[in-house]
Amino acid sequence: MLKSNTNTPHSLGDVARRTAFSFFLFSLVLTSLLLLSWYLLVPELTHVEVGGTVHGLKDLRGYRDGIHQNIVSLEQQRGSFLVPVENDLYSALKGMKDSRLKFQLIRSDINGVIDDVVPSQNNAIIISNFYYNAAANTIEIRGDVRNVGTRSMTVLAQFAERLHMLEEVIDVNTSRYTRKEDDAIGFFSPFTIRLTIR
Amino acid sequence: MPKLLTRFSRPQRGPLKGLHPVAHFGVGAGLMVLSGLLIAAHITTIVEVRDVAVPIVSELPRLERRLRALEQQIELTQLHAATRIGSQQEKVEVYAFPEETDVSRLIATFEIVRETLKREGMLSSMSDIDIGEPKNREDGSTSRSLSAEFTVHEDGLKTILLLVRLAGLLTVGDVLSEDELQLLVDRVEQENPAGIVALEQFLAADLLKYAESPKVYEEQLKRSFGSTTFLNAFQNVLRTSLLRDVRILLLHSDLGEILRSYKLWPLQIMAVEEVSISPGSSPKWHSLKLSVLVFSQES
Repeated sequence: MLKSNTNTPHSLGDVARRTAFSFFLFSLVLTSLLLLSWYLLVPELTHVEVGGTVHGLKDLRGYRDGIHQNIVSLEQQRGSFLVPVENDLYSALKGMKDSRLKFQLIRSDINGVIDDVVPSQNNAIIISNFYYNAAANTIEIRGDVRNVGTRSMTVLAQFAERLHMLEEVIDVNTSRYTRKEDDAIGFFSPFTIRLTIR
Repeated sequence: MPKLLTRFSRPQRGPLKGLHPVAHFGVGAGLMVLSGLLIAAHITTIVEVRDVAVPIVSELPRLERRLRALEQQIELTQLHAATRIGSQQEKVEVYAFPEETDVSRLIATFEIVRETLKREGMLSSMSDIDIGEPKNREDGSTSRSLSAEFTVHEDGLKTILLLVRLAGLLTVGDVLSEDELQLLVDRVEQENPAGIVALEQFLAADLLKYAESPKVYEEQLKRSFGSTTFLNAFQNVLRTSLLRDVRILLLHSDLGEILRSYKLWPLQIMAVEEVSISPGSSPKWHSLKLSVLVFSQES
């Protein structure tokens, strides 16, 4: 007759002794399955066939970078065919020459600012000289604010402020603000504004 | 039956079961750690597939198409460009960026500007031309300053500054900015990669010849493209680029034609040094003091 041992108390060591092998077996099976998955299943799922060649996850990035490099080098090659002058100094001078022509854009922006500052009056800000120095990257404008009565200094300040807001202008250096009176033109504020441009 | 039960309840003596329970626990724990690492590696791989592989795989067909189109374009342009590059290079070395500044050529150019603008009523006077001594520059080139004063109408002023801007440029391609070129090339790639040859021919067109009959060159390029994608981009470039000024100012005056007939085109490369503009005695008339640098390769 079999004896039931369900009521027999088990020590912790007993339990550990009985579960040790099961634990070992479980971890062995789990590890084996994961290893099988890692070496057989994962490569099968992550390898991609591109242009008849199979690429793993790691070399996919390298493959893409390789294509990128080829594209960049072919673009350079094509660019040399499209604008075909192989003289670095000449190319640099062309770039320099272009950068020195932005004064025309700034001159038209200044005219726009003059129209905006006193929109109702087109002879309030008079420019008597526009001077561009390419080496110093500066523009100097001379003139005066007139026909606005005693507001000439305020209009001049607004004008300088608006010039500072132009995209190509880094710094605005205004001569002192002054108001003078002339028999012919009434109150006026002469100015010399120096713009430092990009 | 009791025998069978006894067999189950009796401790087995296999090669693995014979080990001490502590060894079972130890090896089991080690295997669990290994399993943990493998699970982490699986997770990393899945994340990499999601974040790296999937975007790359979706990007690859586009990149490969682009690569094939570029290879095709290079093949097509190579032969044509081979002959053209030599002549372009020669023009740069002889006219645009010569070994030595040809002073008589420079003076003749400004003389023609004076005569043409005067005849068209856009210039009332021009001063003597001062030419400075050659100066070596840090970049290896040599420059001479050239200055003159003009009493000129707004349109004449634009023409003079445009001429300085175009000095040293030879082809349509030279006039377009990098962004404008890129836009055209992108549209060619999208629509008809083989159209690069037509684009190349357009960009290689002599600037002055283009200014004289722009329609001929433009229509030639337009014929290579059927849809509006490229044509819209092309019209946009024609409308917004410097080509517009070239067409308007040189086509509407006979300055370009005279420069070519006196063999003064292409001009030597110049850059603005100083510009002073004061209002003239009449509206839209200005007093212009212009100083430019003329570059050469002499050392």
